[in-house]
Amino acid sequence: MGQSGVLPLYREQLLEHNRVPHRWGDLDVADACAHGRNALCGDELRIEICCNSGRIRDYAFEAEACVITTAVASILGDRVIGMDMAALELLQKAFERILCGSSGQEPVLGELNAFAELAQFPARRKCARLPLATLVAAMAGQHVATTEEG
Amino acid sequence: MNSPMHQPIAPAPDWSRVRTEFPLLKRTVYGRPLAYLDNANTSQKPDRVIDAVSQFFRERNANVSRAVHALSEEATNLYEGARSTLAEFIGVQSDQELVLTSGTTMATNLVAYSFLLPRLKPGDQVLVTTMEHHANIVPWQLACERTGAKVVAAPINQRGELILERFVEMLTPKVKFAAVTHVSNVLGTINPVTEIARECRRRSIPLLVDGSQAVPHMPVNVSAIGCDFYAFTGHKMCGPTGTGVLWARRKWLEAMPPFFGGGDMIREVHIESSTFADPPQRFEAGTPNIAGFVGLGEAVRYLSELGMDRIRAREQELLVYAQERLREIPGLRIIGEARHKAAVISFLVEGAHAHDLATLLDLEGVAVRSGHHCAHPLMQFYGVPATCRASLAFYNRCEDVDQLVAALHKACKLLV
Ligand SMILES: Cc1ncc(COP(=O)(O)O)c(C=O)c1O
Repeated sequence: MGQSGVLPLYREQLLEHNRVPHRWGDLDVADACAHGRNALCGDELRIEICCNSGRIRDYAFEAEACVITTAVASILGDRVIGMDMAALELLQKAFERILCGSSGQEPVLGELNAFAELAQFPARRKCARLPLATLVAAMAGQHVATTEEG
Repeated sequence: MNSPMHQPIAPAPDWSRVRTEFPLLKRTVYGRPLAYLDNANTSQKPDRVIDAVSQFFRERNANVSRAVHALSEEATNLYEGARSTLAEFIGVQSDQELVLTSGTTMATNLVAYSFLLPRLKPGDQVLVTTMEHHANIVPWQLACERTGAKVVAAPINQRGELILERFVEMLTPKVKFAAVTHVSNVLGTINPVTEIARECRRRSIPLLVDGSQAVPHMPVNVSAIGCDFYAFTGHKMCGPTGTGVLWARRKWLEAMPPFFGGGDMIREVHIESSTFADPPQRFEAGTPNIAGFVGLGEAVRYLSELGMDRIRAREQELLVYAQERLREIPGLRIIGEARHKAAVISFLVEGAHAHDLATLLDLEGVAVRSGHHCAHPLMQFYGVPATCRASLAFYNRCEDVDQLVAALHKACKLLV
């Protein structure tokens, strides 16, 4: 499995996020919490946030999920501190563009650009979408999210 | 019908030659030879089946039972010929007890709406097992929801075997119908369906057996089982997709009202009302999958020539080899260790999610399935979100298993 050649999707950077996720656990005080669940593939995570005037001040998650979901959730936490709902929605739109291959890199995504390879793995896109959908749900005061249709 | 179909009619096949009759197995994936280990999902098709379908369209295509011209006659004979071939293959005396469907799912839904729904009352139960495929749960739930009845499941043990005593205890007078899989698509468990049928008969509870994973892999004699309904699907047994069979005892078929209405299922139609054809045509409204059944008939002849007992023996050899080799992988746990088991191996690797494994295996040319395998209650029983599943067929070889094991070693190095 020639490390980066065949398998950019499972590059060391992402595997490391899976092994040692950032902001893992729960918050002492959380303003909102949502569960993301893709029952069909068995990915599950819980995201907690703490907000200040509509901006994310703190983020924590726990997941029982694949490398893709876990690594996105780990990177996301570092990325979204200070963002409000409008900024999150822009982030989500940019993420969609790279997942679908209509854009290679988006400055706003930072390390999330690593998932551009998923354009070639349509079956795994829903794994990448789950953390952001869960975070948006938490911000909107909803408690559950899924990125599986039907 | 003293059929030779369940007996070997030739010396043991040369399995490496048999493999060459499946054109798809010659292709590569990501530049690697394909190790196709997703047979419980769907099987590959031999040249003979592909040719039969294509020859039908090239030389015989016409609709069935509608026109008097020669082509229509030929198409009807081929379609009805497939019905007889299928009946003989599963040890059924009368081919008029076979309803040709689009697959197991349509067969179970037909039974749910036409047979079960009118019989259920509030407080009634439908008994299934924890290891059922959604196709053998959800149709019964839909019928129950409309009537105030409910679906209950008999438990399994940790090895993945049905606890027969519990099943029998649960066959109370409340139970109006039972539905059990012959072979589990996740665990490979082979259920004692003959004993189950005996217990159901003793209590006059109609029993449906889901044969989707049995008919492709072992000799099946439906008359000997003694159930009331038996369903299976063509695409898992070397036939085309969109084909399947519901066998039912004649007395039930005759009592069942039509489910789909349309052409081919009527005797006379007036604007206010119609009279319906006898079974099985009563349940086959509209133009059927004629070419599909021509292909399925050919698949059955092909499997019969290989010999279902030889296919079973070959797959058992592969199963033993695969389970032995998989145990080399550190942290690998096999889910489903029934004493009677078909060549289906669900597994988990400590520290690796099933989806990551499946993607990494795919990149090595190994096709397995990952996920819940349409069996949520079973996943809940084992407390796992998903598994990887390698399922074998007679055309697999030990090298396919070796490729799986090598790919797993690599994947685990990355993930664990
Ligand atoms: C045990 C079992 N039952 C039912 C089905 C449903 O078959 P189909 O989708 O062909 O109707 C399957 C196949 O996925 C199966 O494995």
